[in-house]
Amino acid sequence: MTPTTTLDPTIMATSPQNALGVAPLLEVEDLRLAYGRRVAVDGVSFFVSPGEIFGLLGPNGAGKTSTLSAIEGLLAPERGRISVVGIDVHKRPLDARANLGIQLQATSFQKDLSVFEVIQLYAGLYGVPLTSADIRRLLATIDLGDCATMKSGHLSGGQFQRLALATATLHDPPLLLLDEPTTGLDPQARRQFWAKIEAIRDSGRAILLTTHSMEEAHAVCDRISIIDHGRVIATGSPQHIVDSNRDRAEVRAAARRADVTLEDVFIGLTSHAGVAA
Amino acid sequence: MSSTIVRPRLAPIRTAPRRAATWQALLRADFVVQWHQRRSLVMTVAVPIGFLFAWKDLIPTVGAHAVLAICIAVGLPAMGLMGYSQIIARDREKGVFQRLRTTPTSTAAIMGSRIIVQLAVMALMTLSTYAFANLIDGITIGAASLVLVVVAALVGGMAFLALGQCIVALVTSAEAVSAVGRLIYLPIAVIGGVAETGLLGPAIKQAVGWSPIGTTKELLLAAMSPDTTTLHTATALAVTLAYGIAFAAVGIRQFKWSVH
Repeated sequence: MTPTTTLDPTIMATSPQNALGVAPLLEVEDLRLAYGRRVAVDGVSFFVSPGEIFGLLGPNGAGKTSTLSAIEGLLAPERGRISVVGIDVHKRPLDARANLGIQLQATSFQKDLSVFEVIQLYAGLYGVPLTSADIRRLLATIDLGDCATMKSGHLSGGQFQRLALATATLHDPPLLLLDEPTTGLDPQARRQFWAKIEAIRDSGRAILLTTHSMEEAHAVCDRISIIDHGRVIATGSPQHIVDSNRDRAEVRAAARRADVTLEDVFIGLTSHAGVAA
Repeated sequence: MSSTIVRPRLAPIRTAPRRAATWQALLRADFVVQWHQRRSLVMTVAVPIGFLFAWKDLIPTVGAHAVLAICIAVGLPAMGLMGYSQIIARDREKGVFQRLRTTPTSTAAIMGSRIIVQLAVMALMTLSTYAFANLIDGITIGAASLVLVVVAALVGGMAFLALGQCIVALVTSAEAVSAVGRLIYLPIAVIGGVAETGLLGPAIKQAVGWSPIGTTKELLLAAMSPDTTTLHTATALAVTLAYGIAFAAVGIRQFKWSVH
């Protein structure tokens, strides 16, 4: 029989220095972010280990995108520390970003650049020497071989998403940040996308993603944190979060069927902030 | 089926690439974008050449060099107020800058590359206008003076780019930036340019003389005949630089990379 080669997610859930003795690729400690007097994130801590898909879930305005912006070094924290592969994001932002692959919620490229030129630009920005032949090969592997001269703005949703993922991964980053990556994709494109992400995870890279799809989060994430009103209210494997909250009154009230889902738990917990799992 | 827990392979840790490499990538992309927009580039270069034809009859009264200087001075704000500011506003609105800022590249390089491309277009516009002036009207200036003219155009052009930066910093939506740019361009360039010819009377000519158009025209004129440089030229240079610094200070301080 062929042994499975998947990572056991439970061993990732224990501590930053996990059971494999591998240091996390991303550590967020006691993060506090504010826009003027409005506090967007307060006391958020989590870590993401190699070979792990970690989901940051929360309702709109919960602080997910602000947290990602701080990890990208675009937002300075009022308090707390963020390190990417051990590099302090706010002391050495460029070195930290060199180890991040990022796909934003609304990624856009200069509308006059062709698909080929977009790859050429981002390869240069990440310091990856690619010849024209390399770029054509790369485009062929993501089924955009025929679109090399097409303007990126003329691509379909699925094609654009593959291009965006290619620009995020062409430097083989240890950590990938994906902000609602499957929004607007059809089911086929979603499935292809998650297959690629799982392949990246299985190669030992770490992935931090945000999504509004609880079904997708349950299916692909090894661990998740639910964040609401800027605070983490639950962390663990999706199944652990479901199991440890299924008997809560607010979760039962949110459940539409006897079988409690992650979405039921999410709705139940985020309607009653301050609950910890 | 037996299950094996595997130790994940660790990805190599990277450091930020060399600055030269990121500048090269940005400059190449921004020049490519400019090349793809060559129709608007032609229009930009055509503006001062159009004025050159329109004001041909003023050469005997105003002087050949003065007409050429005014035409170049009128062409420069078109790039700062309509070209540069609109591209920046559009890319900001679409999230292009947010994506670029998540790469290991400094924000100075992202914006600096765009400014360099605009300065290159200004130099091209200046040389094209001179080439037409030489062909059509037989206006000549020496090689050294031509270099000085390009430098003077770039100094004046920087002030207009800074004004464009100021607009895009203070106005959020790309549509509004476009409207404000056009609104400001009309009085600055057209009225300023016409007043510099003296057609609107000496009082207005004197007042416009200290506007960005007026001081830029003064620098261009002095560059065409360096031996006629006076204290007035030095003052015009100081005033042009002051405009640039003041606009840039507001434009950089108030600029937001994202409108979301």
